[in-house]
Amino acid sequence: MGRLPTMNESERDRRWMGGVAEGDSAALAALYDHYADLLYSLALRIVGSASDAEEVLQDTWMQVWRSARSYDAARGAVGAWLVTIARTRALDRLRSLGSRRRAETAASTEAVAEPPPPAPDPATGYARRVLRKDVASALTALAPQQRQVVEMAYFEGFSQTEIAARLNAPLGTVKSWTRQALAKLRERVPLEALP
Amino acid sequence: MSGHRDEHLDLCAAHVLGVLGDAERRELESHLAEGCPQCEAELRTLSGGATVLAMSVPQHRAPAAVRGRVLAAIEAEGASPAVEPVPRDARVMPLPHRRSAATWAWAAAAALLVVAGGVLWQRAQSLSRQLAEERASAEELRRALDEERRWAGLGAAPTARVVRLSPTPQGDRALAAQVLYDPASGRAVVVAERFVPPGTQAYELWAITAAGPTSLGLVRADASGRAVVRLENVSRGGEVAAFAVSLESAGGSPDPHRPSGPVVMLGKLAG
Repeated sequence: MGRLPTMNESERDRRWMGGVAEGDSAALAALYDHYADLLYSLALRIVGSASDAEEVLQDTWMQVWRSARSYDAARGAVGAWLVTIARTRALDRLRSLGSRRRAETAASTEAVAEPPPPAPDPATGYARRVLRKDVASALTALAPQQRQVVEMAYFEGFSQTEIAARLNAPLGTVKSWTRQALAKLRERVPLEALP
Repeated sequence: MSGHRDEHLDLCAAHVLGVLGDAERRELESHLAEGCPQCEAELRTLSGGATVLAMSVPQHRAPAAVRGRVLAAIEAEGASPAVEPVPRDARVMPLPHRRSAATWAWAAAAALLVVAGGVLWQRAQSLSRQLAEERASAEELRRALDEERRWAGLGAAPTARVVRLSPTPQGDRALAAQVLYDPASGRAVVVAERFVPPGTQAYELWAITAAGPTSLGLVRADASGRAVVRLENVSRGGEVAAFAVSLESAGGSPDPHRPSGPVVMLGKLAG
């Protein structure tokens, strides 16, 4: 899991992004060291294979390098921007692979991927455990259908119409499950803990 | 289009998951453009929910090799496109001079053997590491070269088109730009001349499809006003009908699907 950003860390992330926008490769390396594990894990969950996730990770950072100037701090945190890019690239990759089955077998990727990264220090390790617990409990608090619709949309890129058809549920119901799920997830994890 | 409806909140949810259809996206955008504090607050809340989803995945360590490849690629991209003809793995690595054990007194030989064994082992380890690093560097360079070849091949692609952009009545007559665009691969190279925006403003490039404009990012020119920009996934928003450039305040248009400043250049794809 990434880290537990404090206000200072958010500022530091923005400074790094400013450096990247100016063409500073050291700033990109610093951002990379901080976020690569999180982005890779997300990509792996979406594309389902370590080699594809690796390509997505590389593409993601190239896009960060090329479009750093389009990052607008007023529209959200650096981490959220990076996550959005990685997810978009991973879904693009998934579509180009022409199969969504890969994502459905994503659970099996744990066996082929490297183990979770160790925490660099005890305080960060503790913060990560707390955050992971919050995130896990937020997910288990969702009704099964709520969880299913947001996961199908977020990790597999299905539209709400496609989800309604697959689950044989009315579109309006899928829409309200989606919104309720996102709101509940957000409620249960403190905002300052999110990247 | 008129006031807030509950359906707009559902659109906010689909928006943060990136699964809005074109028509829905336009509806939400026009609603937000009118100013809706309720939807703005909803978007903030639900975006947090989407980030929680991202963090819920099993955690893995990113493969170590990617970092080197990314850094090598951005160095290659940031520098001149000319690639150093001598690959880095062809460099001659001077080996440290080794001291002859014969110069040492026999009395110290036994002890020395133990020490030398350790030193040699360390040296072997160090050389293995250097070799591994050199191999990784060669791999990075190979990828950078492949990337260069991929872009160099764009002009030869049978589906590639050249789109010349002309200044609009709102644009400076001196502006010149053309886009080499390959709809098949979605890649494009933009060459811009005399792109010197007034004050702190910036030029932003747009792809225009049937669904409307999509920002392709800001065009960063050098001091002489020249810029060469490589773009991928240009056609992600659909078939591109035209390219445009707008003059924006620093940082670009806040809306990635609508220029906020005047459109200063436009070029349509022929046929």
